[in-house]
Amino acid sequence: MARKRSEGPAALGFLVPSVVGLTIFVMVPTILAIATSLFDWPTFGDVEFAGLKNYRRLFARGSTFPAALRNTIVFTLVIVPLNLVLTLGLAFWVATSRWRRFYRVLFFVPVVTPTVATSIIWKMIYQPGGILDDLLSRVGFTMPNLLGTGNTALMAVVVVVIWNGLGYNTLIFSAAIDQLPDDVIAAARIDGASGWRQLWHVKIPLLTPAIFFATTITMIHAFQVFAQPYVMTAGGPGTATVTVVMDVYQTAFQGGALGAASAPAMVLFALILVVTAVQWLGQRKWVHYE
Amino acid sequence: MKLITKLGTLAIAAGLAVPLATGCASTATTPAPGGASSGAAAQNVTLDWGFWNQGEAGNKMWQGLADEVNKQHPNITVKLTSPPFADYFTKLQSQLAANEAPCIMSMQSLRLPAFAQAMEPMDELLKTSGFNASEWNPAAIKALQNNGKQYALPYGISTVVLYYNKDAFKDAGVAEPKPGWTVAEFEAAARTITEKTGKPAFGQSFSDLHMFSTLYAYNQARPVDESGKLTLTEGKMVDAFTWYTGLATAKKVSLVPASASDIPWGEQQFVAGNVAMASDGSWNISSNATQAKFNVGVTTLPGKGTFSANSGFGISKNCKYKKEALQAIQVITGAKAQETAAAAGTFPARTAASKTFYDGLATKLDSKTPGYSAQAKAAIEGSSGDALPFLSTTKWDQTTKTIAREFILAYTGSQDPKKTLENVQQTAG
Repeated sequence: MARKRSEGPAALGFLVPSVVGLTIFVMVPTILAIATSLFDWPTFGDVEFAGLKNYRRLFARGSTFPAALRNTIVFTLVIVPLNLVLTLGLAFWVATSRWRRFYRVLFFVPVVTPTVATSIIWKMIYQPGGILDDLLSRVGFTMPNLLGTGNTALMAVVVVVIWNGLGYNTLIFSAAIDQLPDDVIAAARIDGASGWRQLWHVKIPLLTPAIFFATTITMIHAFQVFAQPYVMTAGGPGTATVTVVMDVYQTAFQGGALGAASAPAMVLFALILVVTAVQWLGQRKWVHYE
Repeated sequence: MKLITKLGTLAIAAGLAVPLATGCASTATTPAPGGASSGAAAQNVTLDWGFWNQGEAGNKMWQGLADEVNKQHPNITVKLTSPPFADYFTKLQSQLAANEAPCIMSMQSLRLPAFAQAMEPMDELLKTSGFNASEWNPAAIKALQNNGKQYALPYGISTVVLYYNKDAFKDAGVAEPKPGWTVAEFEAAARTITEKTGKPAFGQSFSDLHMFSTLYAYNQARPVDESGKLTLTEGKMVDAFTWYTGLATAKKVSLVPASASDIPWGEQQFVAGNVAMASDGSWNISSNATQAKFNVGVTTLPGKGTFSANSGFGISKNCKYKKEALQAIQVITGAKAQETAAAAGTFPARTAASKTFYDGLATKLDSKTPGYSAQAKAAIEGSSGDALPFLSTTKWDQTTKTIAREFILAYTGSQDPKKTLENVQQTAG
């Protein structure tokens, strides 16, 4: 019997590119960011060790971080379920249309259009004297200053973030729906399953891997929301739309405090890590791989 | 299938989660050479010059001056980059963090306290370079000093003035304002114009200079004291801010910014023709009248006094060719260059060039709006006399963002003005 060749060298060969990439672009920057967060690190001037001062400062009086964290969590809790329900619905609708390819491209356009540009356009739609105001005033409705009022600004931004992200998940679900096994659906139909039962007990369970993927990605994107609120409201009014990433950006590049900016970044990193880990652990309860 | 799906999700999840959290560190720790790089021959140097965008015509004019450096000093090439004003100082922060700040740094007087540490004091270099302070407007030179040291040479000097729509005043039957007009006269004019046109007459702003100058003219309230401390909760400031927000909330004669990201609101709405009055810098005295599709008038802010501010060019601390950088700056701010800038509509920092400025204004605009250059001269001279250099804090850039976020609550009437000032003071003070 021939001696079984070791698979070690081959495995190593396959692993090297990704290990090197992950080390340079993920591990090293992560460790550096953790280190930076422990220093008083101005954009120019002397660097001093600060211990946990940057973390304590996050919850000091006058800090915007608690509001940023709260807003980010609200953003995520609203955006993720709404996005999933809407995109799944759209994907099922698109799947039945003869114009499905056209619709897929159409819904994907916002994803590939620069976010800053679309946010500016949405801002022009929302602002007093803008398109929405003009349309509503024709039917006798006075629109509040959506982006200038605390209660409405967050939701106005949420609408734009959801609109921005619709195309991506619609495309994912659309592709998954196209690949649903015909024989399983046919078997369900022969067994007398109604449209609703087919959807709920056959199609959706078969789509759970795609739903799991979309949930994870959408959640991470939602936690990192930045460009839309930054362009449309700059975090205002008050702290109504400040997000953690905006806090990081402003502390680093407007406040010039890199250490103090790394602390909220690490908190967000830990939060995303924990939530993603929980999702991974939870998936065996509801995700059905073939 | 299962493994691939899982690995794919994990890789994307990790890829998305981590770079965000680490972006700051990588810029801070990457060592890089200074802003200047040497050319092929030993003495040939290329100097980077960062300057905020001056509009199409302005950029062309400044590029011409950059080229002029090379004509006078063939070994020096100046490379001009012009990000938008709103991004310039943010970009500068990250350039400084990466040790890549441009050799020639453009600096606003009100942001100098925040950046002085990254700039080279010029006093020693100036001693041997034929610099003659008497050729300059003393206020312009002084505004670019920090702790008694000169950090930049100015190219202009500006005050904040009040622009108004002559046509709107005429249509509403309101007499045009004259330099030195009072707050009561301003309020009366705003009320009548608002009533007659059905549109708010004045445009509010978050721009630091514009807004705080208007408050200063009202009762001499100052946002920052001599020692560089934020003083937003002082009595005078509370009074002035209550009055300013009241223009929108109680008197309903002013247009409020649509969101906290609309930093320059009133001044833009004015040029667009949506409000009849706005506070804006005298640096726009030519461009506002050129761009507006109506007859523009200009006068002093209602009340007494205004803030002055100016900008100039300094040398970054990490610049390897400081002597050459100064030579370049002396060309860009030289007597000849100042004539060019003045003719193009920049109020010059060199006193000799101011005639060119007014003559240029007359040629360009008096045919469109008769008497505009005389009015501009009266507004500039009327406001310069008792103008106070605008002082800021070392964290000013971040403070201005907090101001916009909080002030919109007061402008819209959803938060008490005093409470608003206290919030900003607490976050930024």
